[in-house]
This record gives sequence, structure tokens and C-alpha cells, in this order.
Amino acid sequence: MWSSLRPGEEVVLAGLQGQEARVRHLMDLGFTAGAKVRLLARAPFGGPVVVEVRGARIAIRLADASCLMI
Amino acid sequence: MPDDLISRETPGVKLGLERSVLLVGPANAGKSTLFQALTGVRARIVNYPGATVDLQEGRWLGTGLGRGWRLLDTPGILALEPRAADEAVTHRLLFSSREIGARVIVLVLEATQLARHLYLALQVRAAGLPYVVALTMTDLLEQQGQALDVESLSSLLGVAVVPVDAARPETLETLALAVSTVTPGESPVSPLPSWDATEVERIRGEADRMAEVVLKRVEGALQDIALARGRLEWLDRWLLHPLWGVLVFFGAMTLVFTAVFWMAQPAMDWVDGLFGRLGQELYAMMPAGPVADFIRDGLVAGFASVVMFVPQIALLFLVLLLLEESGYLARAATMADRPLSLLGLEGRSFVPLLSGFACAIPAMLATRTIPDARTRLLTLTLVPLSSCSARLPVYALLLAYLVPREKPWLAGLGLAALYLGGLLVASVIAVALSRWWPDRRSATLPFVMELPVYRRPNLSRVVRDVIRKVRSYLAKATVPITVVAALLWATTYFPVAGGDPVARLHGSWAAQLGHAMNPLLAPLGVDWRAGVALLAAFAAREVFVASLALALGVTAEGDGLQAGLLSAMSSAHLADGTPMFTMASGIALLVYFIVAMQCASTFVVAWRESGKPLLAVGQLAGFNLLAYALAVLAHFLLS
Repeated sequence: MWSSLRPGEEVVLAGLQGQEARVRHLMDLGFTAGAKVRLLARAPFGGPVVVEVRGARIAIRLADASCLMI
Repeated sequence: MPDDLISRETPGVKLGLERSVLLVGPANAGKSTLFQALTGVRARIVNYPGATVDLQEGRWLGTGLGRGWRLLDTPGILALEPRAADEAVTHRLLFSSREIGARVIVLVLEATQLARHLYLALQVRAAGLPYVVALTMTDLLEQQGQALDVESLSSLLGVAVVPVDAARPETLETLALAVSTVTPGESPVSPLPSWDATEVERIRGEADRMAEVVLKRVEGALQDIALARGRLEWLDRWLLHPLWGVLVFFGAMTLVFTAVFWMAQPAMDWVDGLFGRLGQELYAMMPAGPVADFIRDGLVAGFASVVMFVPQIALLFLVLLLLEESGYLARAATMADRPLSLLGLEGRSFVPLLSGFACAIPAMLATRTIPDARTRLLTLTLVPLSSCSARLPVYALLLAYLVPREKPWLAGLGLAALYLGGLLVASVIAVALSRWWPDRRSATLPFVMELPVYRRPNLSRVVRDVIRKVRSYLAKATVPITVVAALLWATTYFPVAGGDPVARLHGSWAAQLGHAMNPLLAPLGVDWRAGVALLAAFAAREVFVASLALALGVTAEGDGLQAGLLSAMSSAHLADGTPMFTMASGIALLVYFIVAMQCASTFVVAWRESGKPLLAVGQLAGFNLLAYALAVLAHFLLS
């Protein structure tokens, strides 16, 4: 799960789950099955996680990150 | 949505080579830099009534082929299907021909992000839109020892691909040549494309393969491209750190706050002095009487209250745009997101709410940085609840009155309590408002923010944007603020007009209204004299102090005013002989000032910025009623 990853760790996306619009937006951003995602940082107080995917850095709230299956 | 967008200047683009060019592309791909290079400084804002986005429109410069073409910079998109309100604007420009006539799309893609950005290119191609590709930041690729086969990319896409560099005019000429060879599309080629997830996967896969083909010619794997992002990316390790990141965040926000609260002060004093002298000069040129009084105290002073906000607006946006251009602002919004998400807001609401503690006017303008319409309007609604600096003179007067002289520390404590109380009320209202106006977008769409590459801010663009911001504020706010200020002046001046200021105020319409309001003022423990000062405070909150002095018959000015006013307050009695200013009525007034939206300029800007008069009226009525109810409650509990 995203909450147990450490900054710097890289994972491969197994797939996406959730409502279609949400999943589609995440796919537009470059989150697709097989994509490599690296956790860069975690904002304080349980805030968004910052990840690197396809060379882009993206802050994503934890609730939305749970759509990304790893 | 309104249909008159962009059509004002060039109705029907029919002249020979004349065509409209849309700059389209992902955010941060370099669209704005290219736009500025192509149009110079003469761009203008195309307002989009009621929407959250400004569109920039300009003319293609230079002596070459493109000269005179109309150029539009569009909000950034990642894919063709619109997700947010600003993306919908781009979508409309792409697919509706009515508003802009024949057009060619210049798709601005970043070379270092090619694999991701080709995804958009393939969607544009699939939709059959007439386009060429402008590749930015190819020099960054070269610095990394990589290069890109532009010709194969061009033949794979089937359109011209032009590496552009704003600093090299010949690349812009090449782009103009490429655009001129495209047949502009007049009507929508196909309706809104709608791809299912399988199709998205397919396009994504094709984009990946294409990127691999055109990049492999030089060296190695796709992953290396990620390294080309920039040389300052290690900064994220510190700037997003749970401890160091928080410290930097507070440092940056202190800078934002001092810019509005403190650095703007000398310029504001200068503006104040300038218009004071101007009013006096004009006054001296005319025979004494209502007309001269009106010119000096109504018109010139009203106009001064418009210009007074310019230093704050300019400085806030200078700091804000520098932070944004450097790439830091998105990081700051990430750091602040969690606490604000509990209030139904998001990280980007932080700067406007913080700036509100200095002044609501620049703070409301700063809500433009929030892309989501609902969050932006909600933030704008909450801004007046940040206790602005104009409330300080009122707090200071009432605290000085209430706190025994031998215990000055109590006043400091009281001030802290006022700010905390204000924050508490604002949080409760925020939660209530976001209950009532739920965030439907986040129920269906993810909250994501792309963090741009760190880079040196483009100073000339920042300065240009600051000037644009100030000009747009002056254009929108000058007339309404001046008119409202002049009207408020008239209510405290007429029907007596002329003579001694105390007698004039006592016989004024505002005083008559104050008398009529007596039944409403009694539950606060005060009478019409405080009422008239409260009414006058709608011009600006700090006016409360001077108006209360006049209402209580204090004519001293300068340093004597405070002492004279304090003693007049302690000897003021209600009609039944009981003292007017007690602990209970003083605290009731403080409570009122914490919550109430009094500033007429704030009302005007809320209305003009949101494009929704109802929102501004709702703020004015809602916050004043709530403030009144809380003040009555405070008075009731304390007496």
C-alpha cells in the first residue's frame, strides 16, 4: 500500500481500480498498468503523496492514490 | 456558456492568409513562453464572463510569414476530453468553430516529456484536428547527451514537427512556415471524441512506442528521459520534507504575508499623501461649499481608496508569481493540502486565505490561482473572514478602552483571542458551506497536481503579469468603488451640508438611519452614535474610529484623538442613563468586527472577481447577520 512505501522506493503499477472518470483521468496523467512509479515524498499530516511517473512529478491525495494498485 | 468569446476584435477571419492559431498543450510545456515570444508584449486578456480562466490573445509578430495571425493561448490540457472547467474552455476552442473561425492548432509539447505528451498528440490526430507540433526544451535533451529524430517523429505523426526556442527567432519563422502549410479547419471535424479505457490504453501504448522509436536513434531507453527533467529536482527531497519542508513553507508564506502587510505600507502612505494633497489643491481652487467638499472628500478620496490597494496587489502578485514560476508554489500547495481538505478546500486556497489577513482585495484576486471553480469561489467567499489589517485600529481602540491601563499584556492576549476567534468562526463557516456546497468534482475526479520543473523565473514575464493584474483590477473596480465611496460620503454629509463637522454628522442621513436602527442597536448595548460609526465603516473599517469620534463630539485630531475618544467613550451614556461602552457592549462590538463583512471595496471586488453578484450579496448579508447574531449573544451572555 502507498502508506507503507518509503520515499525513494519504486513500484510497478499492477492496474487501476475505481470509478471510470477517476481512472481515466489518472490514465491521462500517465498512470497505466506496467508503468513505473516512484514515491518521492509524503506531505505532512497525512497529506498527498508525491510520485514520479513517466518523468512527471505528481502530488496525489492518499484517497486517490488508492486507485493505483501496486 | 456565453458564445461571444473572442469574437469581438476580428469578426470572421476571412482575409487571405489570415488565420487564428491556438496554442494548445499540457500545462508547463512552455506554451506561455512561446506565446510571449510570438506576440511580444501587446497581448490582451480575453475575459470569459463568469469563468475562472483568463485567455490571452495576441498577434503574431515579426516581418515574416505569420505576421498578423491571431494567436490564442489556451489553458493546459493533458488529454482531449475535458476534466475541469478550465480544460473545458480549451475543448470548446478546439471543437467549436463559431467563435474563432478558421484555425490551426500549434500543439506545444515538451521534448523531455515526449512519451507522455505524444499521448495528447495522438488524440488530436485521431480527432482530425488541423495541427502542427512545436517541441520545446529540446536543448534540455541535448544537455543530457540525447537527441531526438525530429524527421521520423514528423513522418510518424504525419505533420510538421518544429523544435522551437523563444530565444532563437529563426525557429519561430520555421514554425510560421509550418503553420502556413496547414489548411485551417473551419468546422468541427468530429464531435467530442469519447474513448473507452481500452482505447486509452491503445493510444498510450502507441505513444510509448513512438517515443521509443524517435528517441532510440540516439541512445538508450525511455527511462533516461526522466533524468532530463532538470538539475534542481533534488530540491524536492528538502522542500517536501516533513520537517525542512514545513520550515521552508512557513518561510515562504511569511514572505507572502509581509509583502502585503508590511512592504506595501510605504507605497500606500505615499498614495494616501498624494491624493490628500491633490484633494487639497482642488479644494483650494474652488469656493468653499458642498461642491468643493464633494470633490475633496467624496470623489478624490473615493478614487484614492481604489488606488490605495494597488501596492498590495502588485507586491502580492510579484511574490506569488515568482514563487509560481520557480516551481515552488505547487509544492507549497501540496504541503498545505491536508488541513485545508478537511475544510472542503485544497492546498492552493492557502495563499488567498493568508493574504486576507493583510487585505481581502489582493487576496480575492489571488484566488485565480485555484483551477477548480467551486473551490475558488468557496475560497473567495471565506476570504473576508480572515481578519484584515483595517480591523486593527478598531481592535486597538476597543481593547485600549476595555483593558485596564496597568495590564497592557491583557490587550495582547485579547488581540490573540480575536484572531483565534476569527479563525474558529471561519473554520465553522467553511465546514458548513462545503457541506451545503459539496465538492462534486472530487467525488468523481482525483485531486492531483503536477509539480512543474524548478527553474529560474522569467522576470520580464512576471513583471508583465503583475502590470496586467493591476490594470485588470483598476479596470474592473475603479468606477464601482469610487461610486460607493462617494455615496457613503454623501450619507454622512447631507442633508446638513457644510458647517461644523460634528453638527453635520449629527444631522446626516447616516445619523437618521442610526436613530432608526436604535431598536437593533439596543441588544448590543449601544445607541445611534455607534450605529452611525458602524455605517461609516462600510467605506473602510478603520473609518469607524474617526466616525465614532465625530459622533461623540470629539474634534481633536492626530495624537489627541485616541485620548479624547477614550474619555468621551467612558462618559457616553444611553438614553436611560446607563453607560454605553461597557465590557459587554465593547466585546459585542469586537465580535461584530471579527465576522462582519463591512468593506464596500471588498464587496465590489468579490462581485467583479466571481462574476456572481449573488455571491457578493450573500457574503454581505450572511456575514453581517451572523456577526450581528453573535454580537447580540455576546452582549446577552456578558451583561
